[in-house]
Amino acid sequence: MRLHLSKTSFLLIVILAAPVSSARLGAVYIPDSDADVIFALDDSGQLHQGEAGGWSAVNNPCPGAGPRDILVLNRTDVPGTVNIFVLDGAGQLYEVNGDTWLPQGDPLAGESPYRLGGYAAADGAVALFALDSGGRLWQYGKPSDPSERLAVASYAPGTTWETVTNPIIGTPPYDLNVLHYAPTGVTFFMAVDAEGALYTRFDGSWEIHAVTHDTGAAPYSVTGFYQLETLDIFVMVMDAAGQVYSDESGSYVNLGEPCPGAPPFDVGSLVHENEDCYYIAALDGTGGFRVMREDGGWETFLDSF
Amino acid sequence: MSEATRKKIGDSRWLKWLDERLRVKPWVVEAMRKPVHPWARKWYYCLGGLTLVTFLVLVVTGLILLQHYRPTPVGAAESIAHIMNDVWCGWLVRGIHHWAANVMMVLCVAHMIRVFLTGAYKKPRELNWIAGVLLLVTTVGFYVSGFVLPWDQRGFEIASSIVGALKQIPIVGDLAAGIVTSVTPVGGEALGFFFDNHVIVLPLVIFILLLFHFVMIRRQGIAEPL
Repeated sequence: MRLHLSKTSFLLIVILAAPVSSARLGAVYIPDSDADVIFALDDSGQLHQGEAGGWSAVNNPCPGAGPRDILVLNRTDVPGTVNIFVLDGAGQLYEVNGDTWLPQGDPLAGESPYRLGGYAAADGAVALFALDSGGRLWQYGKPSDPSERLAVASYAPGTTWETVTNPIIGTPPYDLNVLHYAPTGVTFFMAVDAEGALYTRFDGSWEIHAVTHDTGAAPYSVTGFYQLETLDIFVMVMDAAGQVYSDESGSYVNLGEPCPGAPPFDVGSLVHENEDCYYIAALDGTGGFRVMREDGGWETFLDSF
Repeated sequence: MSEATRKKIGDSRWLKWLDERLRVKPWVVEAMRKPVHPWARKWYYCLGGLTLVTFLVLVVTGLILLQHYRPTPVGAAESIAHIMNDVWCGWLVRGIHHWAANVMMVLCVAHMIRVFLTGAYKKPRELNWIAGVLLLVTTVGFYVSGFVLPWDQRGFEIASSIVGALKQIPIVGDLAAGIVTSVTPVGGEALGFFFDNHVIVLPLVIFILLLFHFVMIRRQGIAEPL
């Protein structure tokens, strides 16, 4: 049998078969320099840094397999610097070291895709966590003796990922966000599944905290921040339509207008501690970086890669 | 307990062995001579005893958890993960501790309801009723401080709420809150306070109250229902 395709139908097939591009956001506010540091990782593993003039490619593409996730942490022990971590689809962790990608430890033996989360403690110790598609939370470099700090173990050769108990019983894939507030030492885990159910981790177990009512569209992305004055936690979930939902005591409330751009979106928060200001940021699938305005609209800061 | 059983225990080798060293036989025989009244041979008269059993379970599992727990903001979460993942049967011990705490709260309240409904709080047992109320308060203290110990967001919020509530007490509010912690927001100092209370102060208080409670029950017997 022969297929007779017109040029138009051939073009349509090519468009339909083209992979949906996605990008992951790594953004953090650096209080010492009063500046936001914006990084994004595209499908090919290319790292981009957001600057006033637009995106600029940084380094060679990250080795390893996709899909990858990026985490940018403010190094509190070295003012004005950041740690950039990438976890690839094979579970290999990389850290950007100058212009090279430095593999860290052994690969994570979970179910891809992975989501990376973590924090830098006040003394510079880094805690890294990953959530796999099986809903299992993994910790990187978990010391056998809890009195040993993560900083000691996490950079030792041969460091491994170890799973912690009680996986999420939800619909994969998940998105993970980890909050840590250094003055209190409290760490808060939040995750969202493919149906938009929000999970928070208390007392070593995941608890379902909020569910969508068939209004959102997968995939979902989650972010959150501490309001520094009250230490209340604000959790936001963004769906594939770019709509942000705020978790209000277990119920989702629409926040602002849908973010323009191509899905999937990766949502993040920028906490400007010095000004007591909080921003919701989103990266669309092509690299468009936008920040929600006070009126609920979106302001584009960076166009596509 | 039947006369035959009493005699069997009284003549047992282990009691003889103990009596030769500790002179406990008269005390044991006397303890066994206390009959349980017919009206008390019902399941709801066992609630107090069951509360004690769950408390003993909590003591044993708590002592095991104490070997691994670190009462610092960073160490708390890590040590609990260590207990759950690495310590042999740690997840089981912690699970038993968690559920026994819930069961004890329920049993404690159920026991007090039984005492109230059967009028067992009336003269001459008022002091024992007061001791029971204090035991309930102590149990709640254990329960609440236990929730703070994982030092996750929930533990932090409980600690913050308690400090906030203490500050609202007229005149002595700041002093009371200052006993828990001198810093805002609450951090390691408050965690240390709740830990110390959970493993030292409250066990001491509950031991004294339980001793008084049981001595009084022994002396006064179980009250006849109304």
